[in-house]
Amino acid sequence: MDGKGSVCSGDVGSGGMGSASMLASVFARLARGEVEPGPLVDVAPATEQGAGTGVETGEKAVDVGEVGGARSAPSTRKTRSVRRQHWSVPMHPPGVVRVVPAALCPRPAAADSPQAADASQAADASQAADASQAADAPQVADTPQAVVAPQVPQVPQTDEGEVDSPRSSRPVKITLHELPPEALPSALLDMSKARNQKFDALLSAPIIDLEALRALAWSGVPAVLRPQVWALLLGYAPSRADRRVGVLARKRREYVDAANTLLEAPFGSVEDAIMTQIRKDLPRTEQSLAIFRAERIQSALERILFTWAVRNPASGYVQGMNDLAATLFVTFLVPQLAIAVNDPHHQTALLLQLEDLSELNEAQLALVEADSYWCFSKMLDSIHDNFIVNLPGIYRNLDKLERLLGAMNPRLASHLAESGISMMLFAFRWMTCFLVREFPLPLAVRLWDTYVAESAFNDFHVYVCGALLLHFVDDLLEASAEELIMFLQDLPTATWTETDIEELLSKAYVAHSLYASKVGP
Amino acid sequence: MSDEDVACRYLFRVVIVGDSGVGKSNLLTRFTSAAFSHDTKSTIGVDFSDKTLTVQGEKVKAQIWDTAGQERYRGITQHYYRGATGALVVYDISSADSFDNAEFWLKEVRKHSSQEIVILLVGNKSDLEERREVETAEAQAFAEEHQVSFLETSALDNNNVSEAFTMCIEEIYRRKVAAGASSSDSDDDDDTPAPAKSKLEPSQTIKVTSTAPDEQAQAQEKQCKC
Repeated sequence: MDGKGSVCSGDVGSGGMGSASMLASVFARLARGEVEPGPLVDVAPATEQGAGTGVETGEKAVDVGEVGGARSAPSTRKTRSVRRQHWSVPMHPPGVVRVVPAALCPRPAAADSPQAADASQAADASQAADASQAADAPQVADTPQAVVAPQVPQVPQTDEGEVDSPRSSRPVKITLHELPPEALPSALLDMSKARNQKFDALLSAPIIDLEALRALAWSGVPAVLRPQVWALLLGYAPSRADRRVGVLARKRREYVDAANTLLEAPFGSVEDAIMTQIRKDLPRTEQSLAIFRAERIQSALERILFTWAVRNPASGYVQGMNDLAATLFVTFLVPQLAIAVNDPHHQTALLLQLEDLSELNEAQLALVEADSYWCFSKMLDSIHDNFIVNLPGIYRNLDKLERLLGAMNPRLASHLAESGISMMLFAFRWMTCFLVREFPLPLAVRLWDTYVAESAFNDFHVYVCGALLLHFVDDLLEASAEELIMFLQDLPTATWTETDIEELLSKAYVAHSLYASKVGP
Repeated sequence: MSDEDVACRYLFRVVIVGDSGVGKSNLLTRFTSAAFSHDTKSTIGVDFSDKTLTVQGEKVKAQIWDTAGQERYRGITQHYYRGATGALVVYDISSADSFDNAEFWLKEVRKHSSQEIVILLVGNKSDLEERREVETAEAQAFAEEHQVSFLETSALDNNNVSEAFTMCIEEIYRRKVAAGASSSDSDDDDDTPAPAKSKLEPSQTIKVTSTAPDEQAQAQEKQCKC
């Protein structure tokens, strides 16, 4: 493991997918601020009707009604009192017009009906509410721009005056524009490094050799390439270059449509419960990092988690998912932040502490959000057992860890047992959050390079947990019961570096080689 | 790992339960570390801390288990109720919903604890007076109806926090020790994940490593009708 894929240093750059080199210069100009990003809609609610100007840039209508809709929304259900804001998603910078095949942006024939339904709900609500709300609803309901000019809000900006819900100003709805261009990461990659050349060569192939990419990524991925590499290895981005752009454009649109549909529909008790819990957790997710204190970022994470949870009722939202989503999100965000502040050598640790995110445009954030959603979804597919009722995946992993520890170090295993410390006492969170809570976030991201490279997220993780215990074996063997658990629930890892993580991964690899047959599946 | 060993004669296990986000973890941190963090993350599963107090001249160690509030984790958190001798049922005075669920938590603790358990109702975040949704009198009446003690606290302002824990622990002491309780009420230790046996027999001596002074040691007697 040569560990060239530094998290805390090195280049970061654009993080889109694909290899359309002709777009690189455009994107570079975008990064330098020489061109304006795509048409953006101010997030201020209730004034957005006027923001429809500039909609013309490669704009596709947003259908908020049916694409990706996970449930119907009877108009008789209670109306949420959230002030909805629209979030524009330019898919291209101006001057880059990419024709999106109609097939990739399906428009249901009955596109108007959901909007009509929304409008009627809004109208109903507005009758009981104040006049300004009433004024909003018909405008949206009747305007044909709601179909052809999607920057015009599709939903009335109501609810300011409603008092029947604790929700104040969110969720923020997305308005979909064209997706940003596919970036050319290699343009920002330090090609003097042989390892980066290898990544570039692999990623430039017409059909990417995923196994070779896994092998390379196992030892760490440069931050600038993480979005691409993770999207490929998690099965979100197609390995075939000729399909990639189209598929990703479609998936991003699908996400935005689904998120909007769910956010617009009246909430039932299930949705209320999910949103309430998410909103309890996001304000306490990685708050030591400035970016996670930003409302835009929290809104994006809120949409990701809510959309996923509503579409996956077997688990819904479970605490800890916020940590997983944040880890993926930051991976996709860092290269875009580096572009936004126009400093390819900016360090991740500094980017994460950016207080002012105004340079990060809505198109970039939308790209990050949509890609994060799909990678979150792919990841959760493989670990869904960890979050369904009774958490069988967690308990299976705890059992495996116990067997592994018994094989790796019987003395430590018996010391823990004699002290009454079960795996569940300290490793429950390790299994749930994949060690995100145990390391500084950039190091967790590096750790996850290897998890992503391993085909199954859950399996190798157990061996990393075993190696982690062994790393502290001297401390643990000396500790009493209380000391053990206090130590294990607050590991002294704040000063760890990537080198420490890579040593840990090496030991885990050895442990896997030696004990996998004993530990079992 | 410690520079001070204190012999304790008694070990009491206390669980903190209540809805997600009411401030359970911050209550614990305030009590055991005299600190408040604005960066407290949601509890996944169960967290642990301990503190040594002096009750009626005797060293008593409280093992405190801080539980996740979300329903999906109830299976794991229930596990910790069994050997508990005390419980803080926490709600947030600025959240009527969290108070509405207090009854659920009371029943939950009583249902799963393996012995008579001392319960204290705690209305946390008393610093949020301007956003109060639960009146003190209402909570007081609820506590009386359910025969538990009640305090409002603020982990942020450090108001009543040590009083709440102390009140609970002193009452446990009164019931279990002063009353000469037998030591056979914790025979379920195989099932409970506590790091040390929670037997109440005075003969059990446990090395503890608390470096915090026992400022609660001389806490005045409080009537605890739980």
